[in-house]
Amino acid sequence: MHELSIITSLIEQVEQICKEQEKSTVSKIVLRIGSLEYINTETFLFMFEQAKEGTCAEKAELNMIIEPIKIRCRKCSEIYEPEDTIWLCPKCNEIGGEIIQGSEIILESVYFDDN
Amino acid sequence: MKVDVVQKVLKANDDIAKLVRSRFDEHGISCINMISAPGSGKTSLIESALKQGLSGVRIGVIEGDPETTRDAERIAKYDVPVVQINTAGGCHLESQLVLQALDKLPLNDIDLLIIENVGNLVCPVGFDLGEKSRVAVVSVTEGQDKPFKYPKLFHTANLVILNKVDLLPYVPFDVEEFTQGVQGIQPGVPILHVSCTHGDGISDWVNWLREQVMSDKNKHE
Ligand SMILES: Nc1nc2c(ncn2[C@@H]2O[C@H](COP(=O)(O)OP(=O)(O)O)[C@@H](O)[C@H]2O)c(=O)[nH]1
Ligand SMILES: [Mg+2]
Ligand SMILES: [Zn+2]
Repeated sequence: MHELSIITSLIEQVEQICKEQEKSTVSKIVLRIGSLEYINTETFLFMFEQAKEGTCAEKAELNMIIEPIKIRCRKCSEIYEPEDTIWLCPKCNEIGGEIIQGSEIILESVYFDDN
Repeated sequence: MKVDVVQKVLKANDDIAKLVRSRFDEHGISCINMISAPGSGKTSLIESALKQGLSGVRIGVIEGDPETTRDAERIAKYDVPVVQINTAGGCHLESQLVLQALDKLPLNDIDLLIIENVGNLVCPVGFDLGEKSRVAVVSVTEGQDKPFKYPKLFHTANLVILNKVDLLPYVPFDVEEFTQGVQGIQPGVPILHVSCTHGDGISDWVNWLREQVMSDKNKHE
């Protein structure tokens, strides 16, 4: 259940941004979630709904954008989305490479009520 | 009104991990983070290394578990500094917990700090603890599909240990498929075949540990 640690961290970050912006209510939070992060979005949302109570995110809607895995081939630098769990370059057949997307959870943006 | 942030959500953990890493550098400590499912043999591997000894390398251990001090008690028998972190049900260690544990360790008397993470193949992976290297442990009773199911762990591991190879005659485990799975995610990562009960591969494991310390020492001198 690493979802809970991530949500706690997220809410702390959002509260910090609220302070910086001198706002009290967040209306929307946009998160990019890499598909290598094994986040169960239903669990995540459920826990977020509990955790946001009494914080500046109490009324916030959570928008989760799931990002597919992207690999940069270690031989020819082709960027591809692996179709299989073996990361095989579709261009040169080399196995493996650097993960350039899909292994992070990023707080993308925060929306505030305008009044 | 919209504010663009674009910041890692686990940035707080990463920041503390950086701090932990600088403490390790200060004291010339190489740190290893061991990750596996419960029961794969992490504690047994640490015990085997302590039994064999690392000739002159001083070892310290941090044990992470949801409850109890059982693993720390197993390690304390070898007369090395050990701290148990109980996560109170938590499924992984975080850098903050490691930072707190450092206060309870004689850092000047440790060359190699081994952290046994909470038994779990998913949750610990995203949490940097300030380690130099990661070890992923799988035992043959768990099935050869683990690298396919948990690619991020195998992508971030510096060493993969296949443990309990003494049981290979009794359980269907396809070593070749396992190896292909690991190599398909991270070509070239070393895979050691080990049996803690029979002693196979323990000297390779101990040598690998020693190399971690030596490469750091060379950097310092
Ligand atoms: N047959 C066999 N059993 C092992 C081996 N290594 C560990 N075990 C057993 O597996 C169980 C779990 O080991 P432990 O080290 O506590 O695993 P951990 O939860 O990853 O720390 C214990 O009963 C060990 O005796 C091995 O190489 N072969
Ligand atoms: Mg253990
Ligand atoms: Zn390629």
